[in-house]
Amino acid sequence: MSELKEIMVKGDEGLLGEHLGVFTARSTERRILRVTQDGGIVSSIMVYGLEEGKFDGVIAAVADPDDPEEPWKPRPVVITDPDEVLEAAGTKYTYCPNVSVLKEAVRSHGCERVAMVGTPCQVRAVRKAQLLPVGMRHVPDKIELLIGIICMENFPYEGLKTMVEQLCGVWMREVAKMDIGKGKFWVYTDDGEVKSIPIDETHPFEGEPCHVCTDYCAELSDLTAGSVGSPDGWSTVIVRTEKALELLEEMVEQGLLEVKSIEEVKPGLGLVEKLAQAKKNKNQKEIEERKELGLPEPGKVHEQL
Amino acid sequence: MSEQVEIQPTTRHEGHGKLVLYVDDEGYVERAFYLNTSAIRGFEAMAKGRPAEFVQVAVMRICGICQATHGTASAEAFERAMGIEPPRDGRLLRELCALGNRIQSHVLHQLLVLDDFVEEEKEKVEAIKRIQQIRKIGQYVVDVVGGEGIHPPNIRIGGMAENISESARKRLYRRLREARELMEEQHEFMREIVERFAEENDLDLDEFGRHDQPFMATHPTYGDPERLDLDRVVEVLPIEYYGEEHKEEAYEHNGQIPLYDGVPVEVGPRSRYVVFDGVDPRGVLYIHILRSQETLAAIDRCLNILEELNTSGKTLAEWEPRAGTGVGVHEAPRGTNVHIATVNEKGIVEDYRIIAASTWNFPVVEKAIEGEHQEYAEVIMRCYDI
Repeated sequence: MSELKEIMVKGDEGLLGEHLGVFTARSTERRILRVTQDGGIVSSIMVYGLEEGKFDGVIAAVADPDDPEEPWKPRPVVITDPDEVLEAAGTKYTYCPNVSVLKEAVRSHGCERVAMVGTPCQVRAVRKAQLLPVGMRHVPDKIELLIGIICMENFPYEGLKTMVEQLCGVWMREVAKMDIGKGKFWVYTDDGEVKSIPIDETHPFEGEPCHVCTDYCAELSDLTAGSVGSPDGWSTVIVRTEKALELLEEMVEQGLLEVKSIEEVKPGLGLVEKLAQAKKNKNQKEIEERKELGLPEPGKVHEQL
Repeated sequence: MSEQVEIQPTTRHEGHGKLVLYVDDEGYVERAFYLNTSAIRGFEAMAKGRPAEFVQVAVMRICGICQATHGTASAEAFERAMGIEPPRDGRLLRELCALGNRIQSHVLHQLLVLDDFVEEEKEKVEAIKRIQQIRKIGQYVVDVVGGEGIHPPNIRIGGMAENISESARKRLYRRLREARELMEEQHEFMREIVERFAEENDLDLDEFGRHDQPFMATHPTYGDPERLDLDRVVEVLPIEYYGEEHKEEAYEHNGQIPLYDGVPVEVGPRSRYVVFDGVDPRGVLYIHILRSQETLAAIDRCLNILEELNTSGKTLAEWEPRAGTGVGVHEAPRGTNVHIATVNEKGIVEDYRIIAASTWNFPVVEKAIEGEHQEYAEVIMRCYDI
């Protein structure tokens, strides 16, 4: 039995989605850790996959913090060179239409094994496209790996800008990193300043569609990564498919990932489950309220047509 | 005393047609009518009053097999009407996209005619497998370059919407090399089965299905309006062409009949070879051989384009609407495809004319059938990819 299989534990599938196991991990490569959000899991997988030829293209979000017009506004890109992956590292707390370039990756980039990282809604969109590839001809079988990220809610760009510039008092172009953790939204500036606001104050700026989403852990992905449940600098990884497990095992064997049982660390899997339950409860309530008003139920619109 | 024979619908070709033959006592065709029974859809009328960008996309829907050529001819027509110069790489990609379509369309026709020449199951299956492999690669080219295999959206007024990546270029190159090998085999096969057919049926390859109509082509791989003198083109109604005495047939033919210098002209693979290579193969079965030879040439041209292409070059010109009239010509797999557009200063289409590639050949098919035995009527018709 591999090292990974030994330390993997299973959580509540009703909250985390179907999975083979959960563990906590971080990259062992300094060049990756220097630029990534937490454990650098997503970046590591992408670099490894591209270098080993497991993927011939990955879709990720790249943001330019120094863009004079819209600093930190991410745009989706198709990356075929492993050296470019690190440019896309780090979380951007705003929408980035990754699915929009999926077809382009298969067409004008000629990719045949695409990996994509996305929020739970984007992962769902891709799985739907695989089931019913309207406007996505030849795309479904070219998707090699879907990496989901744990997501409570997302902010439209203008909302994020308001939070950073007006509530935290930092210009967007001075921001070095953004983070959500310990009940706060954190902003780190280029010259070492740290600002934060309570998470409650960010709620007005959330995207409207996020309020009817009950998917916290990207339940349809091949694997999910996120900081929740793991200590600083580590990431919680939920493995869902054999394909993803195999890839991760290879990476552990080659010493690219350092892994630990999630039971050994604080705050642990319990927090992930707690927050997943919170998201499901809160948004299910919103869905019920909307149904009462006669509004369409998300994901069930077709049944009413 | 001549007898009338009707074949409807004619099968194993891409469009819809009907053959009316007047045959003599021995079964030889004295007079043939090849009638286009596709319903009239009114694309020309639909285009009027609509923006050029819409029309260029809409006209691709004329045909589901041969869409790239309609998109290209239309874009060319609008570019000439409004004085737009597409960038070099845009032109190259557009040519590449349409050639990918030509590759798949040409071999698709070889699949359709297979039953005319081959009886043995095993031989047929092998040929079909090979054909489908080549078609797949042709479609892959359109997929990657055009953005979609059917009705490629990347073809735009002003060039192509997107360039391809360097890795896509390498991949296309590799796959086209594969296609070339398969096509060489396929070319040999086509030559073999056509010659065998002629031998078995005691037909003279040079005389069978001969006609004396002129040939027309504008470019070996792309299309050149400079070589098409529109003053010499006239489109007539079937009733004008066939005359009152054949009004029953004339009324069944949908659409107009284009004539060059007042007579029907042949377009398509054989015409392109006659005009640009100076060969003169008169027997109709040669079209099959030339079609597969042209597919090989198309693959070679694709490989050349990929070598010439700059994958980081600009592919789409910016443009402002301007009043004018322009002619776009593209050599479709089936022949010379002509679109003529008139736009006003806001870029709204005021007049639109289409002479689709197949329409030129309808009266030519009749000439080729006349004089041959009625049992070969469909075989001759299928030499033309209509």
